[in-house]
Amino acid sequence: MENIKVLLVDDEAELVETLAERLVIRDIPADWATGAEEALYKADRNPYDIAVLDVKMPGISGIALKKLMEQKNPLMKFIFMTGHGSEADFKAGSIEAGSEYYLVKPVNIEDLIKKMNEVISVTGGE
Amino acid sequence: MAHHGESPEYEGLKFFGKINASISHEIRNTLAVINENAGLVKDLIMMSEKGYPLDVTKISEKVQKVLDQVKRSDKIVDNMNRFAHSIDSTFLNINVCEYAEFVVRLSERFAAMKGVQIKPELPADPIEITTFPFMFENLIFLCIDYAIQNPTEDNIVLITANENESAVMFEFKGIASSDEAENSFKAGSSDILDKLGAQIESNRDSGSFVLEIIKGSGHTGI
Repeated sequence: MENIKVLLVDDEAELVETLAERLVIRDIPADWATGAEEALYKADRNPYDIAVLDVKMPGISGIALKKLMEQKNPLMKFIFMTGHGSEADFKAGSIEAGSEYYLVKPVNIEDLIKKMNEVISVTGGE
Repeated sequence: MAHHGESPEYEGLKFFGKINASISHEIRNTLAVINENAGLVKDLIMMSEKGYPLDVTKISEKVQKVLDQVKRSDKIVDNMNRFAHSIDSTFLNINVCEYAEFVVRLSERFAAMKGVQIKPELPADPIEITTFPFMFENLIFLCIDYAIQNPTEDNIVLITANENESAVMFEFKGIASSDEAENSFKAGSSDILDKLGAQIESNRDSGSFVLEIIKGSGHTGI
């Protein structure tokens, strides 16, 4: 995991700032952003391998942001976080996101790292 | 938005569900921040056990952040509790400005998701009517929801209120609506309007609408 770089995006600044710090402690380089504009600005200047996006953010959904970020970096991989925790929401979100890489808040950091490993190993073979 | 023909009871259940889903989402966000701060404290302690110096100032800062989030959660739960109890009485004399302010607070997350700011500029002096509080909240929420779905370019919805001898009027400004959206809003809220003895007058030229509630004319109960 040392060679991958992660961008965390959520409008809860304290959440992404602290989560990024915890990933760095685990030798995973991580930046954070609190909105789409900041995320796209950072994605323009940094070769992130994975973006971890909140599904619902002010003004834009994580799904819409994913599409914009993919235009900048088609190789970037995505994991989604949501505050909606029901099974139905989870399934609906996964389908909408087109991704099984989907976590419900509060996120267990070891689960997040496991998902990162999965998304990198699966897509690494493509 | 409701479709014409849905009963006020069903509309009320939808309102109740929507607010509860929003509140649970807010609580999850505070839990997520608490989780990360507590997790970071644990990480720092584990690092100190491996010989890294323990940054007590940082630990103290993170603990304070946890305490701040507990306070934030407490306020969210207070709102949830107050909202849940608004169903308790079907016939109550209320200060409608205070109730409208409360619905604005409950709606802030929905507005933020749309990038819209709700600005209530309501009189400090109470405006009182006897009504069914939950249904009144539902009606104000429908008005706010319509407003934040159809804002003008500045994305600011202004809410004011006044009264005369026979009625209470809430004015919502900053609306740029289509015929279709306005008709859907009016149809969806028609049964609740009837129940509360209220009506809506739109003024598309000025980008506003007025919710008028006739004093003493509303039915109560569900």
